[in-house]
Amino acid sequence: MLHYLLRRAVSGLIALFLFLTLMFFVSESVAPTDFTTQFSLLMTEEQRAALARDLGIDRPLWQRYFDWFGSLVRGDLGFSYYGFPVAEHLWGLIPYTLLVFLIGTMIAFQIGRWMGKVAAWRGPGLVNTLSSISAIMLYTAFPPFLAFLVSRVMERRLDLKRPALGGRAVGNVFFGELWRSPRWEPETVMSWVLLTVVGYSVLIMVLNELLARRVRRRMPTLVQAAALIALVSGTWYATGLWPYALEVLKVASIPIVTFVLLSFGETMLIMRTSMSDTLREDFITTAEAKGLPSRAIRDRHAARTALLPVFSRLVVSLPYLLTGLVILEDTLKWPGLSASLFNALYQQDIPVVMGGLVLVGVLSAITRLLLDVMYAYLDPRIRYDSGKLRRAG
Amino acid sequence: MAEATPILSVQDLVMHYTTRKGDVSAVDGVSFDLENGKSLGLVGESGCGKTSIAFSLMKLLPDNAKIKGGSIYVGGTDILQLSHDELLKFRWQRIAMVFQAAMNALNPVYTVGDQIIEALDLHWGDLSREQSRERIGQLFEMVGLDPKLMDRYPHEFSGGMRQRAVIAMALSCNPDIIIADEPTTALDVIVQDRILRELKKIQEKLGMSMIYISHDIAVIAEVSDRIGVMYAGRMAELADGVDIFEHPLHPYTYALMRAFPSIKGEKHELVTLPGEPPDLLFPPPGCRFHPRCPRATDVCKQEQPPFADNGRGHFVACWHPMEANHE
Amino acid sequence: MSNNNDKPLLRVQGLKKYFPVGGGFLRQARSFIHAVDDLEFDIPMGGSLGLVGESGCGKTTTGKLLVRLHEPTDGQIFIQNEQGELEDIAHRKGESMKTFRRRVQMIFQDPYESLNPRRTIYDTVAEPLVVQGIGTIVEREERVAALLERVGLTPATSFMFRFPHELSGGQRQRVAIARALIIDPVFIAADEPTSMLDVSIRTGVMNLMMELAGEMGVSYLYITHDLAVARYMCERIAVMYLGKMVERASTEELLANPLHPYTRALISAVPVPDPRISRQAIDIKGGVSAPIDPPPICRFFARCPLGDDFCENNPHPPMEDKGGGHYVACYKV
Repeated sequence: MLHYLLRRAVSGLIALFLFLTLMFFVSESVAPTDFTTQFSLLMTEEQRAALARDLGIDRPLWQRYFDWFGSLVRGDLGFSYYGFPVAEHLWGLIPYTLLVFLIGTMIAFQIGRWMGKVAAWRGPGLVNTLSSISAIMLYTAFPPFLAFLVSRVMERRLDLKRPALGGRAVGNVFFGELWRSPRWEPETVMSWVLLTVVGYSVLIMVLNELLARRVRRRMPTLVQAAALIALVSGTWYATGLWPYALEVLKVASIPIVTFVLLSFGETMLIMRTSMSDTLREDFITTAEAKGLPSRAIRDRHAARTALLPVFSRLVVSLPYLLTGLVILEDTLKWPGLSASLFNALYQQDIPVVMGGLVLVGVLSAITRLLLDVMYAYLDPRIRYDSGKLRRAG
Repeated sequence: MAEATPILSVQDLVMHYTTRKGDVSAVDGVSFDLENGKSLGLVGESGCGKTSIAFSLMKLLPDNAKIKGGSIYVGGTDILQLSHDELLKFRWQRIAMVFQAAMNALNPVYTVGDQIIEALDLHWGDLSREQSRERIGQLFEMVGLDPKLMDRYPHEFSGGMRQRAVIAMALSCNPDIIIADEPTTALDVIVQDRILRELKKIQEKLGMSMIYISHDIAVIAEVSDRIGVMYAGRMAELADGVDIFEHPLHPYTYALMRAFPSIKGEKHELVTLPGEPPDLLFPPPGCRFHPRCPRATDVCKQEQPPFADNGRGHFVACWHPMEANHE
Repeated sequence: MSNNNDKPLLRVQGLKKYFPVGGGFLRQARSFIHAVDDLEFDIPMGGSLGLVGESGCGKTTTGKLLVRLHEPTDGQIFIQNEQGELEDIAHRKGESMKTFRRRVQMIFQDPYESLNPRRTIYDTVAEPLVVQGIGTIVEREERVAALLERVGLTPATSFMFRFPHELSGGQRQRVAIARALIIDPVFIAADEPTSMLDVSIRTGVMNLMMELAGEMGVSYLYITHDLAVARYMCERIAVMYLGKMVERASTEELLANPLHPYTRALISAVPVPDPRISRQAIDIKGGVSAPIDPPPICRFFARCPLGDDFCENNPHPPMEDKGGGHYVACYKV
């Protein structure tokens, strides 16, 4: 297992390195020299040379590459062409992106899984048709339009004040009394919200597995959800985080809901197909013959096994989910990593672009690794023979 | 014939599959008894209804299957009349099944032991975890598996081992009857031989009743006390094993036996039946075998022959049975 | 067709096929499955050989090697050419393979997989003629029609332009036989051609194959796991175990007087379709595993009831004639 993990981590690092090198040369090749944001048409030759020297783009490419990589290893992402330190800037944006991405993916996965399961179990019929149609429509919707719809509906309901859609500027999204002299900055609150939600989810998952091993019973999904809510809100209440967390979630609900709507369809459709296939397997007949009630057959035998392809698909589609997020954040003016990356590209702020790519790369490498581990745990046919992933049987 | 009350008695079972093209008459008026502690072999080609019968016995039917008539008495209760909850209790406790193609009969994501524990939990709910594991250990030993293997996953087993595990699972709740549906079809001969012998031994030891289902008359001949030959959804002939081989009455039985090559005895020409089995969407009228039967006459084309006892519990459904010229 | 009865039609010498395990891009495989290891046998003109063994013993690989669907790792495959001379085709490539392809054909196990579902029966059967450039369209059509009639698909005109899914399993296998025979091959490797068919249909296909082979003077290798079928179909039987041939003799001799302990166990395990005959069971321990980098000693040693120190310390026994062409590879008989 450890061997396998190490191997995956090393290959992830190598992939990351190759990706970043490629990205460096691609983005440096479009680096500002002439008709670009930083270089005004009115500048003289000397002014241009001075600016290029200031930005450090007068040196040869390979030298810049080694410098950049050298400082990257030290954790230094350099300075933006606009003068601020990149690492600090991006660091503040991570909670925004992760909040939407992680919580959105979790919710979308659960909804998709559940809907797919029910649709396949019921077989052809009205429920099946309706849920499939809505899933396909949302899955294929034009993201900015969907984002627009969601924010129109939800802003009224939640009485939110948000910056207008459209335009390039990304700024603060948290207004109102609470944030005048807050005990915590919004970013800190977000980090805590994330940490508690993800942490308690993992805790409940582990508990559930232990329970299954000890007494061969699992908590029903509803009990799990209730336990999660109780634990999370309890913690928030105890630490005084409650009003802030609620406010953060309220504001974040629009991007989260949009993200969920856009991405649950894929999970649902794959789950439905996979579940229908699983229901035709012989071991389902075995389970029936054993006299198991249909609920147990559906959840314990069919859904659990049907989850495997859904999960492996999730691993593959992670990068696409991140890409989708870029468009969402930009449309909704959500000041996350992706939107900032988008803006930096417009302004040809190469250090910020590269910094953003580093973070996106690291994030997807880590999530991928985690998902790989979870997948290997879910499917016992995965063995770690000589550190190599092999599917037997 | 039957002195004791049979443990299983199937009367006039009729089962249809509804398809878009119409009703498929998969089982049509099949009757047979199984005496306590004995084994019955059902043999026939694919589509003859043998597996449909097996699944009817546990009421394990797909949604498009309908039992149109008949009764299935197991130890005095008609299982077709059981409520859903009673049925769940009945399955595996009274009748258990050893499935074909052992690979997929076990769920790949749970250990073999856990899948047996699941059955024990359901029917013998008062066992502690240790008691359950002890029971599985005994079962594993009985079928010739190392008890240490109970925490392994199905894919870590070879084909033969998986089949043994499936047998252990079928035995777990001490059922009265075990149905073995093509129990050794995917296995190599040496493994098949070993498993058949062990099944026989276990059956004798536990005094269970067994129903074997196979397309291979040789396998059926090895393990069954009584043999039923099925054709196109009907029972063509039912008799004691030796009887059926010594005096096959139905022309189909005769042809089937002559169609199997053997490595023992004289090498004989293999008999070929003309044509193919009928499409059960449109079964032929009268005797369903008549289009392929060398002895068919007009009566065969119009009237279904009764399934009658020709003495010594030798049933046959044929207007012109073979006995006269075969002896 | 030229005939030369002194020479075998097909002669195999030291035939080997190793498959790499676990290798990959830029990485040399460290292990090999010895799927077929050092086979040696003849098939006479017009003769038939049954190749019997459990799954994974290399019988299918052998069949594919003989018709060169696999390239051998080592060894020679001699086959009589049109002039009646033995030619080694083990490593043939290109144009000279095409003349060879005309002389050998293969029939596969699964009639549902081996026929292209988008091509009509005529297209499928006529394909070898087209590839080899034999005959005009009219001649091809006549030839296909005649052969379809011969394999029992009558009237041929009603079958020629149907698609495989409109045919039953037995009919499909008849089509496969017609496709194999259309260019008058001298040798056919048949890989379990009847194991997926129901009994009453299987018999017809088996009889058809034998009749046609006799009529057209085709020799065949019949690969099967079923000794009883091999007995019915073949004059001689060869038994394989984990890539090695362990015994080879005429059919009745092999069944009546098996010498190799594995053959004995195999024969004793075959169920007999008659409850009046009781068998004596000979059990061998353990099960079959894949021959990945096997030790150089007798392949059967680990399961052999007769094995001793001598077997453990000597190479795999060579095939030896124990009289009357009964070859066996065992030190202990």
